[in-house]
Amino acid sequence: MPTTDRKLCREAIRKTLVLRAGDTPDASAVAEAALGTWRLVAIRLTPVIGTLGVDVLFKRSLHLTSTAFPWLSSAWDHEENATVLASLKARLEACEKDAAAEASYTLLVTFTELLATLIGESLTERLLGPVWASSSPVPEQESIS
Amino acid sequence: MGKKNPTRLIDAAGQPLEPTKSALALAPAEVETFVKRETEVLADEGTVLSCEEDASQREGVVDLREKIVDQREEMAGQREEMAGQREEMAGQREEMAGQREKAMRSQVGKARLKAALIKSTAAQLREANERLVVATVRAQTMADAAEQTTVQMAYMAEHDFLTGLPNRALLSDRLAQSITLARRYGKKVALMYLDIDHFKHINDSLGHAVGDRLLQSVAKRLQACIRLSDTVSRQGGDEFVVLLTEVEDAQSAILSAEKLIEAMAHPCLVNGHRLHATLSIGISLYPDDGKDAEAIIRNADTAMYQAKKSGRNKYMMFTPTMNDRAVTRQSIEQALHRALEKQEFVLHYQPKVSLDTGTITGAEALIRWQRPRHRLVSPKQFVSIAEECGLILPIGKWVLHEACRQAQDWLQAGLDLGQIAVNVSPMEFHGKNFLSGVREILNDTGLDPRHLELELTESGLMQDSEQTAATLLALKHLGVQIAVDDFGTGYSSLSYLRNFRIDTLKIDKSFVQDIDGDAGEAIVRAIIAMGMSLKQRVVAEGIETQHQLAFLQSHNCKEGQGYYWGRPVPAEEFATLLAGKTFKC
Repeated sequence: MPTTDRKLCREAIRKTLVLRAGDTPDASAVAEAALGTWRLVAIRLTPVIGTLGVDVLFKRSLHLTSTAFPWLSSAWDHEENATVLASLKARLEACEKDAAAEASYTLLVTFTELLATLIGESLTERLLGPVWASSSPVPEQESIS
Repeated sequence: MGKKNPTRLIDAAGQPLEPTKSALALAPAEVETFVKRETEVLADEGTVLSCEEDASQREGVVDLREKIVDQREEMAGQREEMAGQREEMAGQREEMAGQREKAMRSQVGKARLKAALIKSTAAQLREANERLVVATVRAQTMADAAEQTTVQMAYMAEHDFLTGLPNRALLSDRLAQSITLARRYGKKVALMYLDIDHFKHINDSLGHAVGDRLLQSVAKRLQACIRLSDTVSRQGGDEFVVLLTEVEDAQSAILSAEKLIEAMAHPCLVNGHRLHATLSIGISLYPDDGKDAEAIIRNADTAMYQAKKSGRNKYMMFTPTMNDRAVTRQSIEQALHRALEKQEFVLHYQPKVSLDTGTITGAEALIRWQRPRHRLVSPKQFVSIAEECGLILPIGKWVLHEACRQAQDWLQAGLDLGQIAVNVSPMEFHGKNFLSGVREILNDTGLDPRHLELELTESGLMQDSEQTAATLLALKHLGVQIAVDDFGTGYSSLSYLRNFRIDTLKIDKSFVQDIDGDAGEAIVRAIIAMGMSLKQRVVAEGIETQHQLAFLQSHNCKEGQGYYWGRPVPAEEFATLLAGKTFKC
């Protein structure tokens, strides 16, 4: 991904998280914003790379992110996705707001850039662009991968 | 023209004309239109029909009526024809509608088919993408694992597994670099070779787990004492090397060594044990004590060996004379190997004498080395080296076999030997084949086990108490006697006297020689009293004077040995002693 595009994408991700977290976010709001954004990402990607594809990419991203945020580290590979998300949420909620925000941002950036290495920047932008642009809540009936 | 009659249609009989059945078939609107049009035609002609008109007029009217009826019938026919046409058209429309529906159904089917095809293709693509993503991510994970393993292996190749310290290979590399830099900038490099004093004893008595924890604890303390630019390395066992880069002079290295010794002053708490670990340190300097890494390490090791020899818990700077000693030691080790092969060892025998009667109660077998072109070498000069290089095992086995063989010869010759005593080193006693070796020798020589007494030191008995107890019990079952040699000089714990089945206590000669002093007397008295109360034989070692002998006799010590009765002698001379001599007591 060219530097400019990458920079724009990162800014969009950060902006999306900030918008979703609200005006005076605490760690819990940050966690909710991260997971909400993630759900949108999963919904957009599942038809293209399947549930399992989304699942392994997410776990891989979590693993890579945990090198910078060791408190995210765990044996994620052997966990059900729902368990992973619940655990991630609990960990984000348990830490300081700024740390939670930075970890959430890093996780989504890592995921997006990893995805781009697999399916290309253009398709990544086409699939996830609407997520970054959107800050609407996820309908309840929509399931996550 | 008279008043007009109302517009009514009447038939020939003057009755109102009824509309025909077919006319009813018309729509009411059509009938009304038709009647209106006919009425207007009649009105325009000024023909108003009434019952008061004359017959001719009536006839005209009848004709007209007939005409109208004809027209009506004609029109009805036309209507029927039109109705038929409409029905036909309706049929055609229905047919067309059916065709249209059929065509539409066909199009919907095609659309559905196309949608299903698209859906199926999308699913296949998704599955293919899914597999690709999963495979790629797993490949990345595997690559990570492989990379991590490579890094880990590289780390393990250069670090000690137990302590995490740089190992010998990494130290060599850093030492070589330090020497290169020191040579370039005219600096010095100091190397300290360290060894934990009595570590083997800790390892043997408290187990390897405690020993390992102690090594880890010592490693941390050593690391805490040095600069970041310096290196602490574990060489293996309880040996460490500290590399001090860029030292100004020997004094800098000495200060570091003192710091290390001081760091070990406080006990290490390991698994509930308070362990006092001390260090023996040897120091060598580049370029003063060697021009390359190998020489620096070797000389530091030599200096450490000297520090140990000099009492431990201290450091020593390397001096060239140490190398001479090291060379001598190396020479002795090589010569010992040869001595074993060439059977250069001999046994001399020192009598144990009854302090009551002066008769010989037994003999202690003592090894001597008849080294070619040398005077007879005493065990003091080579046993420690034999222990260090492991040669003590074959040497000890030879001693035991030779002593048993000789004792059996004397017994078979009718000489009243009593017991033959053989010293056993801790390394031999704790060797896995010791017990079977004793059995084998007894079988081989035919010596009655009751004539054999094995002398063990206190420190030897204290190692691995569970195994020691088992071995001692097995020996007792064989009938072999057990003596504690150099009693009072090793471990101060007396619990082993209760736990182990000891037959004889041998009072160390240092106490016997101190009999002239108050403290010496007290200790000897105490040991004799303890032996008596535990129903153990007490043998005083190293008796040299009449005064010592008298003291021991006065305190009811039953046996003794020492130069008072003469030095140890070869087997032939000892046989003469056995043959009849009673010593002066």
